[in-house]
Amino acid sequence: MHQERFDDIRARFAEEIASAASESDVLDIKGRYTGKKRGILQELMASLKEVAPEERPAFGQAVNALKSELEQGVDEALARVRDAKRAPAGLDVTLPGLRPDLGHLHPITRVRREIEQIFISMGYAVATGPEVEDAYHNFEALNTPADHPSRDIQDTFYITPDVLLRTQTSPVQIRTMEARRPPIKIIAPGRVFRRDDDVSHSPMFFQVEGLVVDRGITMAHLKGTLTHFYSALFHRDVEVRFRPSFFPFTEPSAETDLTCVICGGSGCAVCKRTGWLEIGGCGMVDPAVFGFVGIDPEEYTGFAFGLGIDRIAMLKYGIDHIRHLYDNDVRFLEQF
Amino acid sequence: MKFPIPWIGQYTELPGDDDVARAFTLSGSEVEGRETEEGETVMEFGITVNRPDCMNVYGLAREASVLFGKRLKPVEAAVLESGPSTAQLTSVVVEAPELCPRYRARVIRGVKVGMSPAWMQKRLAQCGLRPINAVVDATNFVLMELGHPLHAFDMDRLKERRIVVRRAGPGEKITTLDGVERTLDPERLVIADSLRPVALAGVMGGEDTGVTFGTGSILLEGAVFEPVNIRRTSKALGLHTDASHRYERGVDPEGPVAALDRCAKLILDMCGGTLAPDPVDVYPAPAVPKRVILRHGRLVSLLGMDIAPERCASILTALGFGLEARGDGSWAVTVPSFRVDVSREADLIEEVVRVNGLEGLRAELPQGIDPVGGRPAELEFEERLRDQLVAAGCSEAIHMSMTDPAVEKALGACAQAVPLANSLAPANSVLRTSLLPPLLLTAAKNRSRGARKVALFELGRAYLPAESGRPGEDPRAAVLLYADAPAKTWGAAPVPRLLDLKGKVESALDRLGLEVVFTAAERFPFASGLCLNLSVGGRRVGSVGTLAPRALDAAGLKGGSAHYAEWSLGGLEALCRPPSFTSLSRYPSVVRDFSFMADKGVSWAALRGKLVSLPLPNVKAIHLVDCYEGEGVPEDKRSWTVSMIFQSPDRTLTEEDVVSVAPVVTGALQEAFGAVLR
Ligand SMILES: [Zn+2]
Repeated sequence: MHQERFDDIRARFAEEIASAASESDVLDIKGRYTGKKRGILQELMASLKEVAPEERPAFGQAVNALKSELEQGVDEALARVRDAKRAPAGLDVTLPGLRPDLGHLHPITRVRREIEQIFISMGYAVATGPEVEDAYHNFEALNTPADHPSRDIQDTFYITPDVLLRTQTSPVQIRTMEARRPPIKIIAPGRVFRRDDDVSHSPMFFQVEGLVVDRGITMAHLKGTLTHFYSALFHRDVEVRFRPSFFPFTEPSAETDLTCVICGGSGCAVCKRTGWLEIGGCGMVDPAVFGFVGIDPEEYTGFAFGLGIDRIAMLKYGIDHIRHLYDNDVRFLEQF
Repeated sequence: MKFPIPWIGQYTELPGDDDVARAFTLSGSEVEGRETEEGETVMEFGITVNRPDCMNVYGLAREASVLFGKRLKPVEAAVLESGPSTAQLTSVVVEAPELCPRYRARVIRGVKVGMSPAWMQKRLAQCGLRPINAVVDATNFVLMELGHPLHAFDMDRLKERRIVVRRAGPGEKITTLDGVERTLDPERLVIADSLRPVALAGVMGGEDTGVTFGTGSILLEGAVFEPVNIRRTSKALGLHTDASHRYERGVDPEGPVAALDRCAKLILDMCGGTLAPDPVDVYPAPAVPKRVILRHGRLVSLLGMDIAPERCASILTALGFGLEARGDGSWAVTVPSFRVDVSREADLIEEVVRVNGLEGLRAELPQGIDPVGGRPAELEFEERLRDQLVAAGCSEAIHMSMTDPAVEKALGACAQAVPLANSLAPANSVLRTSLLPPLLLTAAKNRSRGARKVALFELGRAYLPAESGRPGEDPRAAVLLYADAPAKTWGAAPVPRLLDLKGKVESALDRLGLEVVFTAAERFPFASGLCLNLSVGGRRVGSVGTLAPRALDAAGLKGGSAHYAEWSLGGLEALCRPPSFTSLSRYPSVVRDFSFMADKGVSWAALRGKLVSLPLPNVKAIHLVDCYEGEGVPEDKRSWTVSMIFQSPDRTLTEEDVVSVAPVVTGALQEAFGAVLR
């Protein structure tokens, strides 16, 4: 029976205090409820004498509890209205947040860094070389003699008959082996150029070349390295398949196929329903190449591999056309 | 290269098309396409340049016989000979044996040349060849079947009915079968009669002596030519033929024998006639079979996969190699004459691998202690600079290294850009000497697509002409800010100004530990009075400025304003100073602001220089708070507010410490610039 009175007071207080907008509102409410003179709680306490004697101690305790509850409500309301006075008001918080003016890294850079990072974690050093090369480093020392049809595999931009835009980052292999002895463990990312411009080719694109030379290096190491690398790059376990092929500077040579990272090998448009993606070339360093740089092929063996950064970027980000990569449309760049 | 599968199937038993395609693809001759022509499967083979022996039906059949473990049937080439010997009917003189190691000729007399039968025309069509007449078709048929180029001459049109293989005389002319008259020189090898060239050796026959429907006698040539000379001739004359394609890759020195017999048989079958016995064969130094040692241990250690010795031996034997075990785990291997690509142990290992397949290859990582990897410092510096420029609000562009020479020039390139000898298009025909042309063209392109504001940077090389003919490569960074209208996006900054760019560049380099000094300069393509030299470590490395309107015109940018910075990165990394800790004062700092007016001609650099030079103790920093001209300030003046911050490392500064500063500052500014305190 008394409980109803308590609940009624509590509810009325809650309503009034919630709508109090100023400090004086709150103080007015405070006076009316907990005031020493004629406050509502004061009146409640005065009704103690109407309560049955055995219930009086409990009733008194309940009034005191309610009092401290209301005082707490008053304190909170006071803090609220005082803060509101100090803070700015009237903001439409649904307005868009103001984003800092940040730029975007080119997708080629993002992918190149990812590739570099994986190989660096495997102990590789990043190496670079000139983009304008001589025929010796781009071709001859890579076992691609002048007047040999293997020169035709790559259509070349020439500056003079002996100076050209490198068609591959493989000359960095030669320059590295010229400069130091095994063990060698490098990757060489960079721009390469082919005299080729159609729907699926750009006259300039980015490649990464890898080279490992040491005692006892085998083709199984090549397969292991590429399997680990591609699994890390695509964040899933991929299988690498070697398909015998021909490159002048490796023997045996192989095309590297990768279980399709789009469909997982079940077949899709990207892998032309084969379940495999042709992703790069590789092989064991040809003894003739070692001959050009003075490394004894009986003492050392090595492997080399190459892959296109453009192709990886297109696969990773679902870019449908190579031309987007070098068009530098800001609507494209801002997606990365 | 297209070949019909049933033709290959004539020489060895084949499984279904899918298995054929798969087996060829996994053994190095990729099947790139498959179609049905005249009811039969024709496959497009991607045959690598080292395998001329596979550029024909019989060679592919040999491969298939090994891959599927079936028998390879011999070529049917038994011929009936009669009448006077070949040597009585013609003669062959090879005057340039270095370019023609072998010339073999057969003579057929009394032929009636008609069209070839339908079955032959079908085969040629499937390989992409047009029928001409029975004799020419027979040579093409044999080329497709056995891979050896042959040529048929109308013997009655050969002066003195004889052949001379020689270098062409200077200016000597020949009209080839395609009807083009070609002028030759001694670098070109010709087949001649007693008087004049009748064929470009190994490339194309001459028009005069080709076989026609009226031909009665035929001289059939089966020769071996030196590959490099054929390739040079083919390139020099721009004449790439089925014959030159094979000759420049190298043909089987023993190939002419079977090819001539096979062709003669086909001609006799189709055209009748009599084949003279004893073909003429000028072959002064017969090819010696190559012998190569193959060590099984080497194969295993190179591959990291054990292929049993018996398996290796059976693969090589099936491929036509002769094996002789040497008792120490190695073989002496005799290379068949048609394998011009095999001469070393590595080549033999590849042969075994190719046929055995690489499916059994394990995937393992190299053992041993890895060298320490990572990026060289200059590359790491470039990566960090990219990150700073992105943080400064610029997006990374990557352009071709080639650009438009007209734009280069109009943008005031200081040097003549290096041209490509064989560019694809005029707009991409020189190597950029600056990153500006591509960046500005890109801004224009984006503008035309509706972008009103562009903030781009690029890190890449400029290619600077050098005496040596090989351009120097200078690593550069460039930033371009362009806008042609204030931003209309919520919260976006308004049109960027030159000082925005200057600040971005300064802060990016500062974060990398480089102290940048800007000094006023005048240089096109920057607008007059809006250009600064950018120096680091006392060396000018680049420029920052607002581009002149006519520079924007050069790139087709109509309207708007562009600010551009470009600097060389060479050597900068070595100048970077890593952060170095300065201890923090425990005592509060005191700030004093000075507001004054000075003539418009007085620059911030001058004001700041003066303030820095004042002998005031405990100056911690001098900041520009405001620089204002306009309403409330006389026409020829600017109003400045500068904040000076004082702090002592060892005590709390009092009012008295700072109060004496004001007269020193105002006095100095008044004396130096006539500045009046506001
Ligand atoms: Zn797929």
